[in-house]
Amino acid sequence: MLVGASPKRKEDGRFVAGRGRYLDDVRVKGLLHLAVVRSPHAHARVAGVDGAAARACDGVIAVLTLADLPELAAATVPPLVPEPRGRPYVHPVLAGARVRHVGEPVAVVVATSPYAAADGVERVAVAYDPLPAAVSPAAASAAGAPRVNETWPDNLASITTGVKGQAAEAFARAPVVVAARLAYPRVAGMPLETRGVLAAPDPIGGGLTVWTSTQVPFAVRSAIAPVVGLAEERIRVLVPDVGGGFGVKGHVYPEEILVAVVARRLGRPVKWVETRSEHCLTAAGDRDQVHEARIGLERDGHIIAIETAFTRDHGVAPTLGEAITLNTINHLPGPYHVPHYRGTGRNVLTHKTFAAAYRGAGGPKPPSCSTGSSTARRARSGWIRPRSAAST
Amino acid sequence: MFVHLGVCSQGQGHETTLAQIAADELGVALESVAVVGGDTSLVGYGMGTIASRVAAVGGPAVQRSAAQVAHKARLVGAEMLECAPEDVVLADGRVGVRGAPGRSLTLGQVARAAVRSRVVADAGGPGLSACAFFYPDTVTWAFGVQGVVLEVDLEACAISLLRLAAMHDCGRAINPVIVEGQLHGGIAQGLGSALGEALIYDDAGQLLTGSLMDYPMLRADEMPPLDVVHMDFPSVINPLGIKGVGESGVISPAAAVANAVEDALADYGVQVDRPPLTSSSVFELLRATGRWPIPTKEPS
Repeated sequence: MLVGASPKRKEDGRFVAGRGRYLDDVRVKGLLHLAVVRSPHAHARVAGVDGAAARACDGVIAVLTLADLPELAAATVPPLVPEPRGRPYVHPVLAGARVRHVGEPVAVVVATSPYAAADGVERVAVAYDPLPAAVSPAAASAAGAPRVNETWPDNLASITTGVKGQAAEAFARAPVVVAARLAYPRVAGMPLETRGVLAAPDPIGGGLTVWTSTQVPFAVRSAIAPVVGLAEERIRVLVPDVGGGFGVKGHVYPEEILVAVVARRLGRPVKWVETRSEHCLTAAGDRDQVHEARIGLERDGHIIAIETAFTRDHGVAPTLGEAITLNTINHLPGPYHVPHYRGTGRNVLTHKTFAAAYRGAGGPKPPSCSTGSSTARRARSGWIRPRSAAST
Repeated sequence: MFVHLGVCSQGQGHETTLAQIAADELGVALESVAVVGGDTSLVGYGMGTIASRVAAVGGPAVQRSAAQVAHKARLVGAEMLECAPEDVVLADGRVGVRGAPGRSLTLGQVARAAVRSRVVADAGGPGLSACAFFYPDTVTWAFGVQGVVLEVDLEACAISLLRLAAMHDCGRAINPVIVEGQLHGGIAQGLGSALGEALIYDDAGQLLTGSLMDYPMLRADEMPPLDVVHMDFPSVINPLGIKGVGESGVISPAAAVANAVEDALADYGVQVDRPPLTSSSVFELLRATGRWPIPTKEPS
């Protein structure tokens, strides 16, 4: 039996010898390089984009905005988890009249080398009229807060609830109640290999081949197909060796659609490789929760009830819907027997890069500190005794 | 032998673990199995390498596909070796007859014959290939607990990790060394969140932690010695008993470190309400207690 044994990893020969083949190693004849002009504002009206100086740069082939790519006018980055009950929203591939987070793509520069493309980006002049931004769930939930989606009445995507037993009643009779405000900041996966996409129109058959550093090739294919107007089967998505994902590559990104559209438009293979700075700015983070939590205990340390009301900051788009919020609610009691429990998560949009899943995806959450540490503190002070001591 | 997958690897070792599953079903050596993923033209659909699901969902699909291929190999082998399919044995890359050690063919010979043999007409068609999917009835979870020993330097407010113990159950491990590696990597990322990582924005929405100088991932020299204890209670929702392990290690470190720091600073009554615990946040927590710094005695 090989299952249960630990043979050496078959793939490590090429990785250790430097023969791995990552996205940036893919070579295609006639390749052009794309770089992205990104918003420096969290929320602003785009008054105008002037690409003339960039077009004059050596090696620059094209400077393209939404006006040049009408196929993107109605395009949206699809959620990984569709929420049919959720409010409809559009997650633009390329911003038009409004930008809604720092780092949002506004224009692209295509050039014969990645260096020429980067030089071109510096010469694209974008005029912005800054608007007030809401960058935390608290700010985004305040009356009169700037709205992320103009078509929504507020910034609340949905409320997610999980209930077991009768928490309110249980708290009323719990002899010990500990309350705490607990938070977990936004963090993100930092794979050694950043994101990257290469799209090449097929000379035969008119299809499209896309290489991308992703965890979800089929989702990328489904996202590109309607925007470029091809049947999914005419798009082949290839994933070369990937230098780490950790969830940060677990959904579709605007750049995957953008590079495919530009390659089709120019009729040339086009590649974009994310810089580390772009990764920090635009790769989807996770966690980003603030909990108002309380735990009700017997004097002997038995848990009677747990209750938490929390926010999850989704940034500009609820890409994973309620999935992470539900994970938090479902996993929060951990291994403990909790007879009465109520978890309520408010899914709030803000003017930040959209959030998604990072390894753990709802598992790591602050109230695990609460249950552990509060109980431990009281146990130390002799106020309550651990369950094992109580039952002997 | 090729295993074509609807999912792709980001370094988890699919080319090894999924080959182990397939090799067992067909009685071939690990070296003769090539696992190929990350190409939407190979397989009709794959959800993705997310949510600790490849081993638990993709693994049984590989097993099921390989079992169908093994069935076809037995049908064709029985025809070639003139025996009943139930008496065909697949082992060591050969197709043989139970109780007749001298009578056997290579799996390759059988595969070639299977292209034209009619006995597989109703078992999936020509050749030794099959494509199967696995639809789990419900989810399955790994379980785990972690404890950490650390020191807080009261002058520098610096945390040193001395030891971390993790006990976990991911069901049946396909490859225990790879499972151990998943735990180590997850714990390192969890400790990164515990001790430094946070994407911080100002009120205008500008990211203040835009580089790895400002977003400090855990360094190798900060990694404590790890004691990892594996439990093995097989899942009942898939035939391989797998619960998935990709996300197991990362979940607990921030809570364990927070609890350990509270315990270390119990004399001051420090209460931790959020990761990460950097030197500056430990300083602020201590200062907020009003009991720190300890007054130093004037030299006599």
